[in-house]
Amino acid sequence: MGLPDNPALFFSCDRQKTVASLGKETLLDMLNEMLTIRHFETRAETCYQQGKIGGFLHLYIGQEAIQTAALRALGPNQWYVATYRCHALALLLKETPLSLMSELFGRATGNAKGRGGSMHLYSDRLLGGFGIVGGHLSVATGAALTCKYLKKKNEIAVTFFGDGATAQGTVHESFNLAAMWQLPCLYVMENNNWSMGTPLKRTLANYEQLPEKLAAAYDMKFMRLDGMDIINCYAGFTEALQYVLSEGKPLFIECRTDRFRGHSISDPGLYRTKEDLKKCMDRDPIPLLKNLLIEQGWITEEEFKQKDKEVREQMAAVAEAADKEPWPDLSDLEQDVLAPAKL
Amino acid sequence: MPFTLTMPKLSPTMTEGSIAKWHKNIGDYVEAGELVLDIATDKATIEYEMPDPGWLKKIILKEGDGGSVGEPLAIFAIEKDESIEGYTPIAQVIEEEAPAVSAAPQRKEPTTPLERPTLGKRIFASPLARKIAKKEGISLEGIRGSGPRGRIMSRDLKFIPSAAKAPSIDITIPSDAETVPLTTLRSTIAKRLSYSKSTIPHFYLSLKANITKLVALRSELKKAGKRATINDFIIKASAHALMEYPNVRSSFITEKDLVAHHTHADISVAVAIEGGLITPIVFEAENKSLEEISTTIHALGNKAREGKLTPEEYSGGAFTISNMGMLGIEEFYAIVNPPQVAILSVGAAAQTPVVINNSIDIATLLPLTLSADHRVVDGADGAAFLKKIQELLEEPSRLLD
Amino acid sequence: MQEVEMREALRQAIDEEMTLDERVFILGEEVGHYNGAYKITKGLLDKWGPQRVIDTPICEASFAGVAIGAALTGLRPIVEFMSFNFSLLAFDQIISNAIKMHYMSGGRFSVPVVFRGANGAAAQVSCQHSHCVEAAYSNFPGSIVMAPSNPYDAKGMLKSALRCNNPVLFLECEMLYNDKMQIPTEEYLIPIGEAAIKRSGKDVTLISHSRMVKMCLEAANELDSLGISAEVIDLRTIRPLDVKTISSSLRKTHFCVIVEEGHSFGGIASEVGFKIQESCFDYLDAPLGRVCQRETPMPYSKALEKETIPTVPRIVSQVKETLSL
Repeated sequence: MGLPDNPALFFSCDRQKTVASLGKETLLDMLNEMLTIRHFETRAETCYQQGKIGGFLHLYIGQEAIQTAALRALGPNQWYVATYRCHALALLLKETPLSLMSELFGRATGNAKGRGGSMHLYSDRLLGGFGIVGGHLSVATGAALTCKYLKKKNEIAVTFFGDGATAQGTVHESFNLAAMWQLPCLYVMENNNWSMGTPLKRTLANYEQLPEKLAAAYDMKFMRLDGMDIINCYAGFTEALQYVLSEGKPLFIECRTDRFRGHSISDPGLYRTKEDLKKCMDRDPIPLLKNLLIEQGWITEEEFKQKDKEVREQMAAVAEAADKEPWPDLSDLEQDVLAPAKL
Repeated sequence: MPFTLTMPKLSPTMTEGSIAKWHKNIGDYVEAGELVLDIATDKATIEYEMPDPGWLKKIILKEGDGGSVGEPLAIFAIEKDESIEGYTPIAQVIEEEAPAVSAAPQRKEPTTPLERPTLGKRIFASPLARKIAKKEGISLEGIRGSGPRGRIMSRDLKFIPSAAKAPSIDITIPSDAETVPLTTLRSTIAKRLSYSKSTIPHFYLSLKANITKLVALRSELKKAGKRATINDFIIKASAHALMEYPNVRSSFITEKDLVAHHTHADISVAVAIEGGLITPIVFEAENKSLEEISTTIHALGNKAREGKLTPEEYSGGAFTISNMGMLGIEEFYAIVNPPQVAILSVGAAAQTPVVINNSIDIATLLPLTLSADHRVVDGADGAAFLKKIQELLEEPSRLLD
Repeated sequence: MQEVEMREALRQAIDEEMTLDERVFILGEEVGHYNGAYKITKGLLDKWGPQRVIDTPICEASFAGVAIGAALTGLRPIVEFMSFNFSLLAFDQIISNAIKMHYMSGGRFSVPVVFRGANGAAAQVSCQHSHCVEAAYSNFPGSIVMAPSNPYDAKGMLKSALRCNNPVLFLECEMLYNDKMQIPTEEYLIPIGEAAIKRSGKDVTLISHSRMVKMCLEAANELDSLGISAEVIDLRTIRPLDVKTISSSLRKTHFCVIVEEGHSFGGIASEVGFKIQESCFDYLDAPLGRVCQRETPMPYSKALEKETIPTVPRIVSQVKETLSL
């Protein structure tokens, strides 16, 4: 999604200060995380094309900066709720690439024992992977209710959703409940301008001023972040967390971003011209961070290439290993439909 | 190590594609993520990016060539100067299905072969009835079902003697005894009479009719060339009595609690035949003259003994008469023939001293016993009916038309 | 013992469980200040405060979702749907996010939430307010569907539902809320998945749930005078079905009529009937009969409504037909 012409509409942060506060080690870590996500996703794409993965596959390629920054700023001990575009979040919450790839391959040792697949990945703090987008905001709002109910001092709920999902009724209902009941929920809209093949202007009224109009309708504080700029995102999420924790109120964040692939693996993306796509990719968050780090003298081009190759090969090895993982035992098919009486 | 680039599955429904354009030549190095070729699918032409870096060594599918998903397109090497000699390209097996589904679960019991219905006719019986019949050793054949469309229900088996219910009797048969299997007729008789005797609450009414006048009348008729047996007179008398007592002239449909009054006095007459007995019917006996009855009976009797009676001729009567007089039997108590509700047993007529107006006379007395189904016929009913027959037999001129 | 209306029995169950476990809370329309549309939650706001008794706006999908989110993260919510007609707005949340969750997450997350409220017809509330939803919900593996017919069962069953670790659809009935009954003052639980024989008999088995149980008992009295001894089974839990109790009865009586307030196509009678023929085929002396709601949306007019749901004469007539009498 192109940047609005007026930079004042974006969250403004002191870049130098933010970069300095993060420091070399952390930023190299974050670069590594983005590379891991990037190569996990591209490897998943290749494996899908080789018939190893079936069903729906929604890739996060191009959007890595947002969730990488979010996790870094918010920490892992929140409640996270995502749509089916959830691989990155699971990786960032420290689910192993092997367990996730095995899940995509439908193996018994997968993240959800082969029962969930690409759209339904979990960690102890990741409530999913939800397939019915927009509906999941209510779940996140409920998690925020728990934080308030149990009087958690340092816990909030965080949910990521797309611009398309924002049309769903439950999104508006959730904003209303969170604002009225004052629940500590962070609503992060990753605006890549496309719901499948429908551009935002044909999805939402006031599409150019979503935070100003939509959040304001519920008296909710809002923020707009440059989703390709990990520094801007990190600073924004840091302030957002402080707000939500101290005020106990919800906050709406719009992250402007682009996805470099179609909506999912079966979407050839014919609604974008090659030039438009190239333009999006000019602001690829990974080279943007790389360049920043090179400027700081914290990495060289060569070191980056090496790292890139390393991570790519790691993910290739993960795919190979996942292919050797056992299939689920057919006799287990009907296990665990219900939770046991004693947990 | 060389590696194979295979035709990718670019959409869930893609099964094959063709090479639209190679963007690289033999000897080129292709980066991971770099555009390497355009693939045409049925839906679109897709720009395909190299998944892993390598040196292009051999193109297997050229521009314009088509191939299935998973088929080798080209061979790459990791190192620039690597040889691919001896390397066989590896196709990607696109598993359309997951590994084999489990075999059908083991059946707990072997399936029993389907019960063969009786030749040409299916017996309708509830699962419970079948179960009980099987257990008790009862054959479902010939049993009237009280369920819809004649379905046999368990209650219909209640009075069928069962192998299991019968007390165990030590049967010692002399080794030289001749064993004779029951004929179909005998078997049917056995079943029907068992059912009748055990189900129907019989009661019996007896009297003796003074047929002195009837005997004399019969002699006269004989002299006039009109032959009529005592039995013919009895049939005629019964016919008239039946028309006055519709309750006796009926069939009892037990499953519906219905008594059907027959329109006519269709009288079944018991005829002894080889191996059993049969009951041909004199239809509309009330409208037949004595002579007609006589002729009919004669003909039916012959037919019966020759085994030529059709089912219409012996099914559906309203009442039965059984005469054992000619066999010298004085008294007997016949078994009601369901669905009928009464049967008349006729014994041997005999000259007997009687007291009439305080003086002793000799009269020919004919013993008559009426067996009746007490579910339909009451004592008073039966008595009045029997008395009517007696009355008519004692004034036989009334039986002449 | 104490004599209570069903609404009070339910209220006691909720109150007791809220006392025993501070993670239990209730949300729904009018549950707090209004004391409950049907007064089930009367006095609970005063006792427990607004954090545990939460009034929601009219937004079933999201407040069901909120409850599910809370249940996923350590709380044990009760959702009151003013009636189950409105639960259909939350159908996706209930199916996709609650019922599927334990399996979908590979056993990682459980969703201890009870969705409760009035189900089925009331008094002339017409086509959009009279749905019987048990067939729709019980189709999905992962659901537990319960329907009490009397105050005693209601209390014990709701307590069990609140302690079980899975999503429960607890289907009450507005027309039963006023019913009075003697129940113990001491705590008692009724296990999930257990049917009950409400009347012993030997000639025919009547199987039903919720309001129709009363109708079957009435029919059984009438059948008595006809010399037919009917056994009445109250399913209590619809999913999972207590096939054992049902088949024991059938093995005794050999004849069955299933009565439900819902419609016939794909209704509860269909499932119960199939299970019976599966487990008791050789004991059946006649095909199974069923009496269901007539095949129309619920009409408003009093006479039409009464005629639409099962009636005692229809039940008696079906019994006679099944017995071929």
